[in-house]
Amino acid sequence: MIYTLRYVTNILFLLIGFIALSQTQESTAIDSVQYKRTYGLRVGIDAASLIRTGIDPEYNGFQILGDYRIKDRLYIAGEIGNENLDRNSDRIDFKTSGSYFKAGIDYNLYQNWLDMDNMIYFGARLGAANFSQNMLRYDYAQDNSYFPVFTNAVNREFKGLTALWLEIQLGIKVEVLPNLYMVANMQLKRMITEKTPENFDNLYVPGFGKTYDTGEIGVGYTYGIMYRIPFFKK
Amino acid sequence: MKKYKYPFILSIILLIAGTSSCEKDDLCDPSLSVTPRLIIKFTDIGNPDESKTVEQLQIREIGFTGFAPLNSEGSTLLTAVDSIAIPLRTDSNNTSYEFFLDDDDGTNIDSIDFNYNLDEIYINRACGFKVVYNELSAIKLPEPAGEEWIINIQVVTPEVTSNNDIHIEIRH
Repeated sequence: MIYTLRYVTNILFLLIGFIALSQTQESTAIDSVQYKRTYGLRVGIDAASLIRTGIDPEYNGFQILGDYRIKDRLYIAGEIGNENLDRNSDRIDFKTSGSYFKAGIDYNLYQNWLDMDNMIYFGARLGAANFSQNMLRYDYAQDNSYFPVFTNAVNREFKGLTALWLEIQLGIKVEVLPNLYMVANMQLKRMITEKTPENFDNLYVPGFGKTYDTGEIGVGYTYGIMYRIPFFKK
Repeated sequence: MKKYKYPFILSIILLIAGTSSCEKDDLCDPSLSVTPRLIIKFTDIGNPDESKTVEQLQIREIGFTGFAPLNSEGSTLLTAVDSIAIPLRTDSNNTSYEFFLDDDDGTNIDSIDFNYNLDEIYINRACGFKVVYNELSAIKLPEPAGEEWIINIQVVTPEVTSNNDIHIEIRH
C-alpha cells in the first residue's frame, strides 16, 4: 500500500512537471528583461525517510540535502545520510546499517518566468556507502519436507562493506515562500562496484536501497524541504 | 537540447517503470538449484553396467514412521524402479535409511548409513541458502548372511552438489 502510494505521488509530481514544461514553450523568445538570480547555499531535510522512520518499524534513517548554484541553470548538489533496516523475510532475516553520501550536479531544465526561481531538474550523482550487515536467521531451500526445514538462528556480522554507484535523478524544486523550497525527485541507480560478504550478498545498501537478485539496478525517491541561505544576486 | 527533452524524460520514466515492475525477487523458484538430493541407481550384481529394477520399493529413516519421497513428484512407493532421489538431513552429518523391498517372498529390509560433510551455499534473497554434501560414504548395516537383498554399495560421486549426477550405486 505504501509502495503504491509512493509511486502515485511520484507520478503526480512528474505530471505537474510536464504541465509546467509545456506552458513554457511559447514565451521563451519574447522575454527581453533580465531578472537577477539569487545565488547561495541551499540545505534541506528529506521528509520521506523521516516519515518512513515514523511508520515503518523496521526502518530508521535521515538524509540531508544540499545544493549550491554555480551558474543560472547549473548546481553542485549532494546528499548525506544514514539508514538502518531490520528486515524479516521468508528465508532470511537481516539487518543493515550504515552511512552514505552522494555528490554531483543538478541541471535545471525549466525556463522560469519573470523572477520565479523553480526547477524541474535532471541530476547526476556518484554515490558511496559504508555499512555493515547482520544475518540473523536463514533457512535452507529444500524441494521436500520429509525432514523439517532447518532454521539457523545466528548473528553473523559482516563489517566494512562498501558500495559505489551512479545515480540519475529527475525532480522538482519549487519556491513556496521566499527562499523556502519543496523538493521531490525520483532516482534510478546502477551499481558500479560493491564489496559483498563472503557467501552472502548485500540485500540492502544505505542510500542505494534494496538490491535485486536479477540485476544491478536500484530505485529510490525523496521529498522534503530546503532553505536557501542567499549569498548574492547576479 | 530542447527538442530532445521530452524523449529523454519519457525514457527515464519508462526505465524506472520497467525496473520496478519486475520484482519477481521474493519468490523462490524451486526449479532453481536448491539443496540437492541423493541420487541412487540400482544395478545388477552380476553385471554392474546394467541397471536392474527393484520390484517395489519404500524407504524411511530409521526411527521415522513416514516414508521418504523417492522422486521429485514426492512418491513414497515406486514399482519397477531403477533410480531414486532421496533427501539427506541438513542438520546432521548422518542419515540412516531402511530400504524396504517388497516382492513375492515378502518384505526384506536392509539399512544403509550415509555419512557426509555439510557445506552451505548462498543462493539468493528469495531462496536463502542451500546445503551441499561432501565426502559422502555409505555403509551397509550388518545383517545375517542370506537375509540381505543389497549386496554391494558403490559411491560413484562423493560430492552431492546437483541432482544431475548419480551419487550412489546399489547392486542387488
